[in-house]
Amino acid sequence: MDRRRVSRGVVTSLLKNRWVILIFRIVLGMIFIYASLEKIRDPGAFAGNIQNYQFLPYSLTNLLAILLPWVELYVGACLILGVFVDGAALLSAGMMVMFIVAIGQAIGRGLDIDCGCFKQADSSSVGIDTIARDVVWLAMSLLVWNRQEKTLEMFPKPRVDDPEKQD
Amino acid sequence: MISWKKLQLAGNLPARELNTNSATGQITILLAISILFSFGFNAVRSDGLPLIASKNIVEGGQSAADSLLAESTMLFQPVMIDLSIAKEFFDRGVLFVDARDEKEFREGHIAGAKLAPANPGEIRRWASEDDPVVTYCGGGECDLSMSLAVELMGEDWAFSRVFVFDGGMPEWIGAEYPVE
Repeated sequence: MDRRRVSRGVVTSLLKNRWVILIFRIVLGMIFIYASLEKIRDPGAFAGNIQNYQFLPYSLTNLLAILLPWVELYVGACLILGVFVDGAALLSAGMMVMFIVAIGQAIGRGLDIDCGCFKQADSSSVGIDTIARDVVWLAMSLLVWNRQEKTLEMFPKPRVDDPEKQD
Repeated sequence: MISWKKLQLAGNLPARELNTNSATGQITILLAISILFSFGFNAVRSDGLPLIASKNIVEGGQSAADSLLAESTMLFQPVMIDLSIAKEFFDRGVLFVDARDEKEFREGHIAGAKLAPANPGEIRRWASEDDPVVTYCGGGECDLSMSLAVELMGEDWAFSRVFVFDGGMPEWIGAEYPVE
């Protein structure tokens, strides 16, 4: 009992450790940047992937195919550089939720489709493992958002006072 | 010098400065920059997508079929064709690939069509990557034909001209065209 409490305490403090959070930021950032590049290079293929999910009205799929890779790119860059980390972490979490819902409904309907998460060539179809992966990244995003200390953040500079109050 | 604090988004946050310290302000700025660059880049690049994805089903029978089959026609993604063009292609001996499962295929398919192999690359047995290929499935909401077409035009198989007969089997039977 005691030992369990201690080990839980270790895990909790580890997940709040500023350097662990920094590693999460960099890992998430690299994942997003890597994911975005291929989609920016070939938006037509990505649009096809989105259409396969049959999740959005067909007419809106191109809009998402154009926009989403750039959001991924900027969110990734912001997380790594330490710019707008709050916003980037929340956007990251929001995208993960979106991916989890999209993949979940695809699996639920028995669609055997390409994930479209990364390169076309990996052609991994959606499954429980892709959802599990996204859940882990969602947790990392939320931990980054909920961080207590700011580490190597360029902008906005860490402040101690209430950020809402300044003009 | 542009100050972030002075940055305002017309209409979005009227008469209120964006607070770069708040998550909402940061998200607004990030999304605004993303929208600007993504749609800007899409507008200038040669293979940009149309903003509204329409099920662009090309119609027009013979003349449309002529231009689609022209050697010079470059496709960036699969093109959906209607029944009249599908029939033109059929008459000219273009390869038809049935994207449905084997059971449905055995119950009846477009005459001469091949059942999609588990490995799409095996379609090379019947056509080279420069040959036109038509995929189809059960019509309506069925998207197997489009998935297959997208896969065929992807980097792995690099087919250059893949068409999706959107109406699929139901339209073909309805028109009483040859089946087997």
